[in-house]
Amino acid sequence: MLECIDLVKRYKGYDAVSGLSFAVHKGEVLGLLGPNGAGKTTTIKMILGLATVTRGEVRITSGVRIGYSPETPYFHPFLTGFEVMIFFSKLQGMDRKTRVRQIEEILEMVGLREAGDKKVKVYSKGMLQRLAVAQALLGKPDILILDEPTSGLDALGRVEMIRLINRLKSEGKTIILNSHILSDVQKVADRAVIIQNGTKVKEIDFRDEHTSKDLESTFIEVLGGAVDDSIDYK
Amino acid sequence: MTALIINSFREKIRNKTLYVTAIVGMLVMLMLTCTGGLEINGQKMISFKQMVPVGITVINLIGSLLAVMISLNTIPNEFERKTTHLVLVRGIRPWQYMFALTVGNIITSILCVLILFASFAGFCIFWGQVGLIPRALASIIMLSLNTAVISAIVSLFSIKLPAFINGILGILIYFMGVFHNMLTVAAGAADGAGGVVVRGVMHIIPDFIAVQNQASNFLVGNPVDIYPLVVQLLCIYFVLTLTFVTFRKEV
Repeated sequence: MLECIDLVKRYKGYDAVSGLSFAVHKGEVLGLLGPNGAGKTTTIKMILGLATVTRGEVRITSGVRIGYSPETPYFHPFLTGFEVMIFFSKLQGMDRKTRVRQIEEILEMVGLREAGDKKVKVYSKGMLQRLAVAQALLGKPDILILDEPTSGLDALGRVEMIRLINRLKSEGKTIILNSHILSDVQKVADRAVIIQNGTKVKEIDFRDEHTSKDLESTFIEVLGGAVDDSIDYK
Repeated sequence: MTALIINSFREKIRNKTLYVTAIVGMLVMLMLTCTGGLEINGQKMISFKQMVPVGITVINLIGSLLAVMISLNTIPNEFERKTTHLVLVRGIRPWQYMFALTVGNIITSILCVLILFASFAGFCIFWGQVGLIPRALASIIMLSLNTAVISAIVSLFSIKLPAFINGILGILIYFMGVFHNMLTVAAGAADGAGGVVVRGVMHIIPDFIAVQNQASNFLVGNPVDIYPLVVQLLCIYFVLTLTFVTFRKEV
């Protein structure tokens, strides 16, 4: 469905992504794992066309639509959750009838149906993250890219988000989950690609009994013991 | 694109600083034009006709400052908050996005000038010229061409330049435009390569004073030269066209 082939992103003097290759298949959840600065977000930006590709290629099956939920979503605080969704649906050129029906369905799915009429300024961080996922679901995308969806959330917020991702997974959504929280990725992903210094250092299939047992050890092992403090192992 | 313009407008009109500046501007305008104590070059301003250019100048100044304030941060904020990501992934082209935000800034700036019109109406009432209020409104709309130009220029520059430099540049362009006649004469007298550069710069600086004069002329019933107004419209068109081809390398 989506394939990154020998992807390189060069900034002045260094490669943020250096020869990264991986593929995402229909209906699976792929975790992009790595410490801060590993090149995960740059990779996502290249997939989304927000950053130019220095070398390599992003191959997306024709007609595949992508939804994107950013790490730190900003929505105008004076808008209600429903109005935020209306705004983005208008940008997508959805007609009024489809728009209203779809927004109601999505807000219900992400657990914001009741809060849809409230201004975004009163939303908790967890609610904002769920609204970010909600706007990404507009237009029924084939692939959903979630950038650090549980980052900065409290325990309850994390549980809610993991539940939501699992629900999307059960509905057959293809998801790329960018995270530095190992346990969260392990809870929902089918596979994970560990990235360090812009390069893939390991690919893990959680459906395989042997590899799914101890992600933490695998992670420390592949990063050669040079473990970044920013990684949340629990 | 309309959704982007409306959203940008809705965000801007919530900015309390704008209203405070507008109210201060209105008070300054009323104090200068309605207290009857204003003197220019030792000559006391005693008639409505004498006060009109003063009123128009004050509205132009405050309107332009508000336009700079409004237009300075709209686009950089979008990049900083990464709203750009959520918009661009939806197939909106960068030029559509920049154009929409710039148009949003222009509309908000013009609205501010129309708010300032309230003080101008007060000025007309003070001088017993109530019948001239509709004409004053048309005059202010004419003047809003200047506001639209300065808003468009600052918006365009904000795509690439830091806010501080852009703000200074915007105000500088405004004052160069207000003293356009004087500076053009000075540039004409300058020699050498420097003179050529200064003359070149004066060619691209919008002639704000010419529009301001036409707005005054219209209000007091003098003949209006349409040429500066058309040039200002073309300037808006040109700057808006430049938003089609100006974007940041990385978002």
